[in-house]
Amino acid sequence: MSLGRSSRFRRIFGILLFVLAIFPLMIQMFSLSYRLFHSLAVVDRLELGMAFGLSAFAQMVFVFSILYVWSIYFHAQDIEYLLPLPFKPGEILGAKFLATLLYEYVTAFVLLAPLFLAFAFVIKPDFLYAIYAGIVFFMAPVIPLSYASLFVFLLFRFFPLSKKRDQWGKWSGIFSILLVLGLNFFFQTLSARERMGQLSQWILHVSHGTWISFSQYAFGSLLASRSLVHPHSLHAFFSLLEFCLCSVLALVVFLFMGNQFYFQWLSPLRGIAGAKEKKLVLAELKNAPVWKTYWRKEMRILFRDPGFFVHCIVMGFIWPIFFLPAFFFGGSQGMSLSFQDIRHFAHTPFFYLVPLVLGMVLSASNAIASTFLSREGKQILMMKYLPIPFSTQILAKAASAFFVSFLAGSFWFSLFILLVFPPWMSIWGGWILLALGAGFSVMSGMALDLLFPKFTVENPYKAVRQNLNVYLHLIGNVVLAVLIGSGIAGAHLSHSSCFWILFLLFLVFNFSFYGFLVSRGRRLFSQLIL
Amino acid sequence: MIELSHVSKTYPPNTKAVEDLTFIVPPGEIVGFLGPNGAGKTTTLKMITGILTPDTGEIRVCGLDVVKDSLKAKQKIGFVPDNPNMFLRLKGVEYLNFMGDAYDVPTELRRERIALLSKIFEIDHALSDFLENYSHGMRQKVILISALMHDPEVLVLDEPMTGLDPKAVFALKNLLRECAEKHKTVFFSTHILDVAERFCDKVALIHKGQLLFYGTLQDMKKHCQRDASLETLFLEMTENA
Repeated sequence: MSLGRSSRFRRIFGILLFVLAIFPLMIQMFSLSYRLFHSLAVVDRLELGMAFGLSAFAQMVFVFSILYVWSIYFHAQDIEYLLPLPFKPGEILGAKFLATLLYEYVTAFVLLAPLFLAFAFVIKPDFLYAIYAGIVFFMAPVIPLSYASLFVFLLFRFFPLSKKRDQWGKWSGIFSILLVLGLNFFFQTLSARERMGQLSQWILHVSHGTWISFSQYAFGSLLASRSLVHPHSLHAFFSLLEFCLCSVLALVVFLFMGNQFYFQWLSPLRGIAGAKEKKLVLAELKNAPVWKTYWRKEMRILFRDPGFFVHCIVMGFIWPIFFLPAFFFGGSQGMSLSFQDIRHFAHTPFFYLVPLVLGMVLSASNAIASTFLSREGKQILMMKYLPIPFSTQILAKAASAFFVSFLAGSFWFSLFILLVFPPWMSIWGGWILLALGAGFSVMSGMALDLLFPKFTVENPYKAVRQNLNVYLHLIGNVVLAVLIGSGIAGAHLSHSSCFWILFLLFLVFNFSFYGFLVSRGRRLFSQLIL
Repeated sequence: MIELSHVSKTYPPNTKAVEDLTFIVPPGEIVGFLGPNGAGKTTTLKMITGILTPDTGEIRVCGLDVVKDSLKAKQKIGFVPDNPNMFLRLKGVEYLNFMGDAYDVPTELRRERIALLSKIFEIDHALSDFLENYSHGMRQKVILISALMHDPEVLVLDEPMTGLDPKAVFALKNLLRECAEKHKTVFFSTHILDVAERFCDKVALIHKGQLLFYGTLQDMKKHCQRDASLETLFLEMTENA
């Protein structure tokens, strides 16, 4: 397959994967919105529901934008190339704002498109609604993004955050994950029928005077919602016009401020902080085994780089929480397990599936193994000219991925043990399977990255989150976990025979992949052209 | 000693980067590697250091085949790549420790060499800080220290003077001369023809992947049959090729 065709295939596959990933969320959004509009239509207060939805969207854009636009405006790599060119500050900012806005339309597509569609199902509108909805769709992120941009400008101007860039990056990343977690929890609890009734009552009677009603004015959501409820009225037309004017005004204010102050505020934020002067402590210079020093280097980079820290380290400790509401608060649609169910689980063969899958999926999701080469970018040269055997480098990289995955897996498995109270033998067996599952996932991820490395990364975020290998690796591990689960269910295995079969199977998997990495990997690595 | 024998390298699909390159860089001499942009200098240096594998031909470093005996050959080399932006999340001292372990430098020698070299390059005060806080020149100095730390038999340097202040350039030239006097091999690429003219014992001139000339400046003048500066001869030879 030619290089061009291969990259086109990967792009198409990536888009398909993305659509598949967002589709369930869109269905859920549609279902929630439809039920909300349906209950508000009875009391003829549809505009409140639409204003609530639009305002929630605007708040989400506002908060998330604060967390990431700082790096786009102040720390993007292209700034140093753009600054010497004869551009006005407003032109640079306008282009960056536009690029960010385009990304926001992806969020809008996931959240607003189902909202508008559900609304259309309730009010049975005509063509004019589609036009108005289209305009609102394109204007909706402008005001919150402009506010967030202005807020970040002021924040970075008046607080010494630029000097703590990495800390800001780490904490904003963690905060984003927690926020997504909160939203996930909110949506999952909302799927219960009685909760939706409570929400519509709250919108009707309590929301006035709260932050929600304030934000409906501040982000123009009320105006946009009025334009959509009765699109044929003159009032709707003027509301839409007013909403568009407010959006343009917010953008103009941001660009005006940018034109006045961007360069002035940017200069102290950029550039090298300057090395701190400190006497060299010779005691710090001491030799260590090469695998250990390589492993330590890997761990330092993973922990110190905000992009890697958030996506590779923190994520493993947080993301399994996403599934907890479905298990415990799922109501009629969820699994809603009781403690008796869970305790009984410890004596079934499926108990061993938990640590095994934790090891496999956590190490696939933290992306350390499946980006072990791609994360290096141009530094990969160094791997090639250092007099360190490839097998040692592979081992050190595998050890760092295994360490993080095993740590996160152990954390979750410990909680599971506290919940289930399994016998001691099962606990030890579980930990062995956790290690084997993590080891398998680490080595299969490394093999994948070795076969299809991606060196065109500009920053850590792209290396770990915009890398198809990560998703392929995760999907592969999930599919394998499902197959193993089905196998256990179909084979009617006993508790102990299940352990031994999984143990032997994954021992073979681990040795096979290690053999592949060391033998064929060395050849593949030496053939890489950088 | 570095020996290149009929070395060729083609990048896919069909770009000939280096073609039938044969020359020897003997120990005790400083050899400058010259050529216009895209001539094949970096590709050659990458093949010598084991980053790239030649399609045909053989490269030997201190008698060791860089493909068959790659680890032993790499151990003999101190390499300065063209880009000093390596592992910026590490502190200077952590980076040097890492390189020291990679080249198996004993603790005492490591301390002695780093203390000496960091003083020469006036960077000892900054080694406890992160590399990302360093200027380009400071990063280059750290890379130079890491290449010189294990006292290698062969030094391969890709544009080593880029970003260095005049004092550091002077110090580097002294260090390289000392290496040559200790019978070590020094091979470096440069675009600064003045440096090559005054400092190198020999020059290798490469153009479009082929070796146009290898020898002393006097040999080059004889070859071109005129007494002119290296700059003039370089321009003449690369234009006529």
